[in-house]
Amino acid sequence: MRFLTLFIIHLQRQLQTEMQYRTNLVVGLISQLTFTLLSVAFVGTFLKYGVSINGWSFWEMVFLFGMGDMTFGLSAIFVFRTFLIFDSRYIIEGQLDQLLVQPLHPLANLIFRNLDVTNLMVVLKGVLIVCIASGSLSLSWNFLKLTAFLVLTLGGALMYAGIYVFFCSLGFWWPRRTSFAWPILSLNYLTQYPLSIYPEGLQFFLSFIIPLGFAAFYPAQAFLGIHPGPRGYWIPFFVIPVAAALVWGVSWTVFRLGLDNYQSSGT
Amino acid sequence: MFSAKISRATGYLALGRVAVLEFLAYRANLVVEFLSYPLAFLGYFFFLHGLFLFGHGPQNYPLPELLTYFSLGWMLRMIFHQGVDLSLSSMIATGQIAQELLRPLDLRLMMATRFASLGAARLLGYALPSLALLALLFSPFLVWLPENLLGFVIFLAVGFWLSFELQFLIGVLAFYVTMNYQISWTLDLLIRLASGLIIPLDLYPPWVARSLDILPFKYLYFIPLKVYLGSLPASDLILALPVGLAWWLALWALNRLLLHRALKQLAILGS
Repeated sequence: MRFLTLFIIHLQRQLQTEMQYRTNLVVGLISQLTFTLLSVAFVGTFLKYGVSINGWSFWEMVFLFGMGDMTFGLSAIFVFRTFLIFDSRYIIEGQLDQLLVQPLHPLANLIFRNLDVTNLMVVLKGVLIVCIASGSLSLSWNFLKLTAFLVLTLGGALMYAGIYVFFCSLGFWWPRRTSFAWPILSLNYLTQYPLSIYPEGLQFFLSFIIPLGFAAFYPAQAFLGIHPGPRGYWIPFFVIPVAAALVWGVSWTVFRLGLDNYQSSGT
Repeated sequence: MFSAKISRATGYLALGRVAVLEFLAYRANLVVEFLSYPLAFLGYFFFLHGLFLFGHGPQNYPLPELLTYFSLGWMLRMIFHQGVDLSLSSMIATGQIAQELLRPLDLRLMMATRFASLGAARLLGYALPSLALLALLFSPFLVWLPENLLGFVIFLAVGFWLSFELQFLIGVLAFYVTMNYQISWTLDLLIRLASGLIIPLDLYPPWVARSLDILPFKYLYFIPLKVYLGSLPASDLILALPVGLAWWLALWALNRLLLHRALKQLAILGS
């Protein structure tokens, strides 16, 4: 309950700040839509109507983009800003010291202080794209399907958050000015296409080493019921939230170990 | 008079040297950026490869041509995309522009010198190693056409300076309108679409291709890449160089005018 209250207070403060710059929010949404236009235009140019690649049609890939935006946007609201600045600001400049003397777990404190509500635009964009794609795919929605979709989306977001916290935590042992965020984002671009187009080694890497595939691709594949073909992996629906919880648990443990290992820079 | 010119030239060269030293100082950044572009390219590669495997590739572009187009295109992007717009708009927003204007050097030339020095450093530090990496990984799928290299380099130079002028134009607009990271990013995304970096312009629907054909953006990526692939019709090739240079001159003049007008009205308060 205390966590929830603190979260709401931080969220309110963040929203008040952002609402001072309303134009910025609108521009943010436009730029996000333009970014998706790039991916959709690329895929749409090559994947004409009626053509599919490894069982994925154009609109199914658009659905994947939308779901990816929703899971990424949700996780980014909570952890992406922390991921960007943790090493330089909290480890190298020593601002973590301040959090250690406060009566709240440092990870929760980090997340609350660095909430980024502008990523709500990415979630909204994702919802819009999923609605358009689902209309074009003539998907029928009912209560059960909607619940499944929400569970998969939350599982995907938790997976992203877990992966980001894990790479953040490496800063305790290997502090750097440059965040791991950019190479991880580059890897993430790979998961906006069906993983089954990649060689088996790369599929395995994106599924079980850095499991970014669980953040959007496998949830979309499970939801749409697309057969992965002989080269792809089929991950059942219920495994996705379990895997996400597992990765989050590992990341949490690594963060705690890192905290034990932390030596203040003394600044 | 002559010694003053020499002294100014030395000043510009020193700025270029500092820009390269700063670039080399952050080695982790070098590794991260060096890895990020080829990683992003893998998605393109395997998507197109899968498409051709199923026999659905575009008929006017064989797979090796298409992959060469994209790998060279992203190499050019590594050289061209230096964030001149963001650094200029941030200087304007924070008032740091005053310090730059106090120097006994021309602001545009200073930025152009930095752009050229960093362009050379990025070519050697990012672009050529990335290209070598891609060639190593995907050599059977890439086209090597040494006979077209000279033409490619000439159009690369046109694209390079045109890219500088476009980034400078977006940056200088910060004197007149609100400019921030989001707006600058959106404009960059649109330029990527209009310049043929994401999709070769001749694969767009005909009316889109015709509209983009009259704009200057195609000289950034589409024209140099088509020149390398040797697939630009002769009639277009003859016109391409003078028209590309004319666009560069027009943007150069526009930027000079906008900067001159802005600086006449500029008032910076504070210490």
